[in-house]
Amino acid sequence: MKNNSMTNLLSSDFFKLRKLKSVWIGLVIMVVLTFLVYAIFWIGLNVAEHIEVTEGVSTQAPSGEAIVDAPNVGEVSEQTPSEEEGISQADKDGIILSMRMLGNQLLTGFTGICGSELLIAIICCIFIGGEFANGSFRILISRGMNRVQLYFSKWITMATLVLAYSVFSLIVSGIFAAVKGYYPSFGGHEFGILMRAFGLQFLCNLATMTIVMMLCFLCRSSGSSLGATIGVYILFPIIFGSIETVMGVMMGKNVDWISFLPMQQSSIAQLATPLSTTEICAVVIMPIVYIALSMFVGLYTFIKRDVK
Amino acid sequence: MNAIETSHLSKNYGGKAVLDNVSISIREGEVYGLVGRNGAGKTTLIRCILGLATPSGGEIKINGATSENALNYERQKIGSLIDSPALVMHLSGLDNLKAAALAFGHYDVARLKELMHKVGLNPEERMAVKNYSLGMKQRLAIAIALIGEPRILILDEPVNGLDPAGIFEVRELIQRLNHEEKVTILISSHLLSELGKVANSYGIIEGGRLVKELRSSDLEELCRPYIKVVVGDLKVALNVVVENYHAHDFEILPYNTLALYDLSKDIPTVAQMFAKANVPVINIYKCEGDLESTFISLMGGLGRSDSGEQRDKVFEDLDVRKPKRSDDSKQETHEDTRPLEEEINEPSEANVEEHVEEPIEQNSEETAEQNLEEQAEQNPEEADVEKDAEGGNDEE
Repeated sequence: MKNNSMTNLLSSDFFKLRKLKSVWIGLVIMVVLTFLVYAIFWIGLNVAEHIEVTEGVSTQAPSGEAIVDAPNVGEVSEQTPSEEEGISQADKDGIILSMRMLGNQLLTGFTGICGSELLIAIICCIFIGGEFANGSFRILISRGMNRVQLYFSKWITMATLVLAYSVFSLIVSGIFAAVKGYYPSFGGHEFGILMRAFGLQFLCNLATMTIVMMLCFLCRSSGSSLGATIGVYILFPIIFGSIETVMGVMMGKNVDWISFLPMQQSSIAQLATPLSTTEICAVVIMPIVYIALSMFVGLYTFIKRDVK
Repeated sequence: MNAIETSHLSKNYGGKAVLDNVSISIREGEVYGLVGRNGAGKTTLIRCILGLATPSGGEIKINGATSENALNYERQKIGSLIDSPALVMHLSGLDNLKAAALAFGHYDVARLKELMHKVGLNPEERMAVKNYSLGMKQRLAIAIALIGEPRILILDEPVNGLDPAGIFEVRELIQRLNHEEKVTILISSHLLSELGKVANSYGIIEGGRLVKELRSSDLEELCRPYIKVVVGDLKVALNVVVENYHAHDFEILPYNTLALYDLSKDIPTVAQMFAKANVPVINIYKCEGDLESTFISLMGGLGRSDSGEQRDKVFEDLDVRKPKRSDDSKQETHEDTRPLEEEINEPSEANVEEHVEEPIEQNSEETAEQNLEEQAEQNPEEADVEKDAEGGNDEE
């Protein structure tokens, strides 16, 4: 075996990753979370299917337009028809249809429902931060290992984990989705949408992982990088949500650009509907930009700073 | 040929020089002991050699290589143990070795198991390393350093946390690697007695500077026996010593203590010499020279030849005439009407008084003890060191 080759580093990293309990615990958590989400969905669907229909009441079309069927129109004007007189068959069909569409969305949003993005971020902190903390980097560098190779070895290892987790969550979600079936039916078009969702979610998770990896290389310990990552996960939605509320809702400005900010693309990637041009740009270009940027910052600091 | 060489190596952290112009040379096949206090710069020097820290200045040569790529290539042949053992805590001992061996490109399970046996660990033990004792972790870290049969070993405090049997085994291992496999070894250790048993060259670092580089033969010369005298009045005693000894034949130790290296004067003669000058002698005994006291004196004790500035300061503080140095004795004999040898052979009260500018005070033992206490308060560390040295060196 040749000394200091990338293959050696990758073999060692995969060996260590395979032995990391968090990786396997993460898989279990993903199955449990997916099951819980689907269980809630099944219960909801079951409840919707067993709603008692009241004959001769006003109904609401699935499209949302009120269809007034009451003998006296004037009496219905103050309250919604269903609240007053029960649920019609059309209402029930509408609810079931909405639930079915939600079921389809659960399948395409497979990484979101099992929290794989956060799990990968946590494992990344434990794995890379741990390498700094336990002195593995020290030992490898002192043996003349190239720092660039070391960095890319970690990135490829973690990228493989992202891929493995994405595939696993897709399989788990697919199995649970099959219980009630895809609505109306699962054909080639639906498979295409699912594959698009898979590709985009993989790309988004890869970008998130690279950002977290950069944080690990900046913090250089599992504890502080974990803290920083959780901080980012809490702060980003608060900051971006506030901006959206203030500018979008209160000031009435266009806030589509928020989807271009870091770690904001996953929700678009999970959609089962056709995407707009802006959404495609946000979900395809921005993750690549963030991967390149965070990789550069992480690598630069790793090369320039002394290793303790 | 030198296996490792540094020339004018410097390293600054936040403007503070942690290494200052350090030039060491480690010859191929030798065991080089790096000695220094905590924070002296030993680990920083090792980290610079291993490429973990970028030097602020100077040059590093490993097997003659100087460029970064060539250095990295040569570093592949170096096994190292720096600071705490670098281990993956959730893995077993063997798995730790496997992970390291995979990265180094030396994956051979049979060889790894053999290595574990070599350092006294059981390869079949499946316990996670986090449950290992400190000594076991240290042994495992040494085993990792030995993966790939390195030609150079750099060990920073390798016997930390090891029990006496473990220390003995590591020492044996180091000696065996050096003698049988001709491995060049650089060891940094606080256990000077242990270092003395394995090293054949030494580098003494103090305050980021290389104080001295010694070969074993030089050290033997420095480790000569001496007479230790604790006096009641250092100032008067110094006058007596200056008159009777060459500069390199005595040393001022803390707590009114003098070390006299010229053994041509035995204990009764020395006692008589001080008695004539009315210097209270609290304690006088012969000490065998040892590594520890020699290193301590080289690292910052008021050394015979290497810390002249410090010694001069003592002389200035006490207002005592500075001693003659052997290298300028010739010149001084021209200036002085009396030859030096004559002075040494004929110590007299008159002779002593001639150089004492202030009248001699009759110091009681109480005053001497008070002085000792004051000095101990000022520098408790030295007090401990001195206590240890006294405890270990007393012959009478």
